[in-house]
Amino acid sequence: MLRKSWMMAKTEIRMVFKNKQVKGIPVFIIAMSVGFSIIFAWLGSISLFAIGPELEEFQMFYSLFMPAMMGIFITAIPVMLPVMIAADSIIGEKERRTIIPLLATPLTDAELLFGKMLTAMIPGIIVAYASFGLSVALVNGMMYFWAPSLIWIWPSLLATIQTLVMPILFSALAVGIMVIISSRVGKVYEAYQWGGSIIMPAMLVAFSLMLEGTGIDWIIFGFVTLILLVAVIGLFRLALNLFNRDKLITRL
Amino acid sequence: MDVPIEIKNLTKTFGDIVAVREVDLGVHRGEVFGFLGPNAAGKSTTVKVASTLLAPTHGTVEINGYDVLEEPEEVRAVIGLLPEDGADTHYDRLTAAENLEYFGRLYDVPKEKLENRIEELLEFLELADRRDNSPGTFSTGLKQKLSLARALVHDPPVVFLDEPTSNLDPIMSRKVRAFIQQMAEGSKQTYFMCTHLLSEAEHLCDRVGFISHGRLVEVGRPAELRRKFWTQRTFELQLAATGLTKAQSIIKSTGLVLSVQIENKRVVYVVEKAEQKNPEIVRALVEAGLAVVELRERIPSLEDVYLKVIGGDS
Repeated sequence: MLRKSWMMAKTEIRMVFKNKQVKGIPVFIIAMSVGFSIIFAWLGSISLFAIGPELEEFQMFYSLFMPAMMGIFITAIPVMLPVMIAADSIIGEKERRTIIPLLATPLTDAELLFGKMLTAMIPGIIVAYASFGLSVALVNGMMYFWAPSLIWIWPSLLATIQTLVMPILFSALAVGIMVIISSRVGKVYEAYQWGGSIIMPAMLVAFSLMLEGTGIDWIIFGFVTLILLVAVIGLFRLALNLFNRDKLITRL
Repeated sequence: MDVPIEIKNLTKTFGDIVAVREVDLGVHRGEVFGFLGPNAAGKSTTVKVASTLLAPTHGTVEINGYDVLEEPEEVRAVIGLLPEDGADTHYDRLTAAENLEYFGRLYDVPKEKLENRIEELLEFLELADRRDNSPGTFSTGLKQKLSLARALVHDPPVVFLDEPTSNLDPIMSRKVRAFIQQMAEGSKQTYFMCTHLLSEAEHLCDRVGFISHGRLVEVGRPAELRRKFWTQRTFELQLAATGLTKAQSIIKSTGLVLSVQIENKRVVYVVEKAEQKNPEIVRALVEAGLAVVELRERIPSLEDVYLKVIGGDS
């Protein structure tokens, strides 16, 4: 199953980035992450100069503020990309009628859906990881020169794990939602609107990072991860059950 | 006999609408079969069921021995499909060659064989100079040719072509027909072709089936169908010199013909059991001193047969 899905995903990713609406998004996401990293790091360092003596309190504040803010930009915002790719790859394929010859190939339903999932997930994950990597380098690089006492306060181990895990789960969730709504939606722009619904849970996860340092942060992360994992598996199975060539072709 | 397309009692409904009704049909290996009928007769629905895109409501369809419901992946592996409006089903963000490569790989064609096959098809279809262009820049005719190439890229034993020349100008239609004919000739591939262009079916198909309101009305070789529906045959008789009126009255006086008249300097008569009666008619004319230069049957076209079989219904 993996070989064909991977081959399909490679070709589709190439196609997706020829779409004018999609190809600017990774640059936008990375630019936003990098831009806000610089702003937050700069704010942190000038605040430290202003506060001066209460260094410990500030470090604590900073260790809470940074994960929450960066979490939004590194966990939640990159979800836009898999949503847009999944909409283009699943609903767009229907809209452009290229789905007909594709459905006539020997791909199984699972291979096809997994291929679509990889198509949406891989760029989303790469962009999220690139944003994270660049932000970590920039923030800590700036701290090295401006406020060495704040260096490596962000990212914590939890923030790192969260940034590595969440894009995978949210991307998979985006694809599952797109497959399920594909039977009801005929246009890509309608799918974008539906896909927007996935940004909200991503934001909530990002805000949950504000609890970092309270002792229940790992529990919350574990709980959220488990819920998302169950949701992803459930959605994939539901999508597989709902995926019906007959209905898809009849509604074209 | 080897029957790679076997349709038994196929019915397909969409809600209350019966698109295909109790169709029984077998298409033989190496045959080019034409599925003819008016719009909404059930041609495309039959192809969609046979290519696993739609599920049958009742009945069974087996392709190369595989059941479309039980073994859909196996069925899809042995078919090539040019869908209805196939010209609009290409990936415009890939080049023509990349489109073919993508599908070839989905059909598990080995890399080297695929490269050769793509070049062969692009060359054969006169698309080689456009191989690196997006299909979005192609005319409808070129897109349709690319659809054909896509349907054949994995060299499938069974090929379904749904209106392969629709929306094409006469020159491009002729080119596409020539291509299909070249591919079909001497190959063991089975072609199942939907069309409402009767001249196309007459030109390309070994056998044809007429479908109307979802029912398969007639199946046979074009010549067989003509014989079946034209028991009364029409002949044109040309004389060496004048004497058309005399010939007309002699033929009429034999009492062997149903009607006789003069058209474009020829005597035209309609007769039943022509094999028995024609020699008698010619003998009567020769005995009357008339020189018969040519006796030619006016063969009804497949269109005439079609109109006779389902013309009223369509």
